[in-house]
Formats: sequence, C-alpha cells, structure tokens
Amino acid sequence: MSSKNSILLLTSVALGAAGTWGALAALAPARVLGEAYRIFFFEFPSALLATGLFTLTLAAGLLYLRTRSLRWDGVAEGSARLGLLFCTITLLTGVLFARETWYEHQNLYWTWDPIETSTLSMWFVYAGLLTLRRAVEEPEARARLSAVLGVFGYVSVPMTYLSTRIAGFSLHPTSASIGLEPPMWGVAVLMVASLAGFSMAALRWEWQASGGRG
Amino acid sequence: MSHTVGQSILLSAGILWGLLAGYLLWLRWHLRGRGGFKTPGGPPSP
Repeated sequence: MSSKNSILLLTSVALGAAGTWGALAALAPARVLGEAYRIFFFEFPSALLATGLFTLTLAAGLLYLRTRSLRWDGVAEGSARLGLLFCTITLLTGVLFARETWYEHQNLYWTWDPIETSTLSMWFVYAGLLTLRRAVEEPEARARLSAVLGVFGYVSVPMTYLSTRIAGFSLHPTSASIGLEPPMWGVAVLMVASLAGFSMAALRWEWQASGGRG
Repeated sequence: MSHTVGQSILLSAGILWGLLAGYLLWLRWHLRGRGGFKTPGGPPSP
C-alpha cells in the first residue's frame, strides 16, 4: 500500500470515527424526528457517494469511448461496483429510517414510495451492468458494452432525485422537515468526507493495479 | 431513546461500516490475487 493511500485511509478512519461519534452520541435529538434522525447520518452520505460514483462511471465510460484505453474501463467498473455498494447501504439504512419515521405507527419498512422505487430501479441498473460485464469475456467488447450501458443507465440517477417531483408525492423528508441544525450538518460533512476518502483510496488501489501512476 | 429506535440506529451504523470494511478487505484480496497490488519499495505482490 502506498504512503499516500495509507494517509488517505487513516484520515478517512479518523473522520468516520468523529462523524459516527457525533451521530450516535454527541448531537442532541432533532426537533422534529427525535432520535430516529440519527440514521440520516448513515443513509444520506451513502446516497451522495452513490450518486458521485455513478457519475464517475458515466465520465469514465465516455473517456473509454473517446480514448479506447482499458484503464478508463477499469475506473468505470470500480466506480460502478463501489457506487452499487453505497446504493445498497442507502436502501438498507433507508428502510430502517422509513420504519422509524414515516411508518412508525404502521410497523412497515417499504411501501413503494417514489424515492424507494426509483432508488431500487437505480440499484438494478448498476447491478445489471456489473452482471453483464461478467458475461462478456472479450475485454474490448466488455468495455464498449459497459461504457454504453453506463451512459444510458445514468438516466436512472437524476430520475431518482426527480422522482418525488415527477410523482407529485412522497413521504421522503427534506432537511427542513427533519429539523437539521448547523452542528448536525457538520457531522454530515464529516461522514461524507470520510466515505469520499475511503472511495478515493479504493479507486486508487484499482488504478495502481491497472498500471496507472499515483 | 426507545429500544427499537436505538437498535435501528446501531444497525444502520453497522451496515455502513461493516459493508464498507468488508468491501475494502475483499478489494485488497482481489487485487493481490490479480498480482497488481503495489507496495512501496518493492514489486507487486505475487
């Protein structure tokens, strides 16, 4: 492991530890949602990272189509895989958040709310992309197919964020409806920075393994 | 904090850090297996 990656990982661990301590213990309960809002600090950063990583998949796919360098295909695969991991975390923590807030009195976890349905659709798009990659053996064909799917599949990302507006209804709260205050946003920033650091370290490992520098 | 809410909060933290740590360990193992994982001052691991 390079020293840069060691520093990146150690910084991410420190930021993540501080963020987790803030989320679990240091912050006071929220005005509106009480204790349940603490799940937000694990769900929201994951959703943000999934979005960023799927955007990187799109960019790397376009760069592959332009340059035909398989290194960009490697970046597209790594970012899609990591984005899918964060999307999975978003879905799992999201159902817990929904259970403790929207559906508290009904003992429900999932009701096909527009944001739930569109996030699950996005998950299937990128799970499909990664599954398809395993089915194609020839590297150039795999990279080309993956890049095209990464470009068209990206439509699912803005659709997820627009789904509540398009559908015209959703129980998904906004930051205002949760009642977040400035110190709470500080903890959210720590968590986002930590997850971004871990993601950069993971992508650097893959880049270095593919022969890239630094 | 009610028992159920507390459990859900801790489970959320466990899901995030557990899956992320698992992924990083898997990636490290996967890249070593491909022979491309570089260490400073030496050749890639076999």
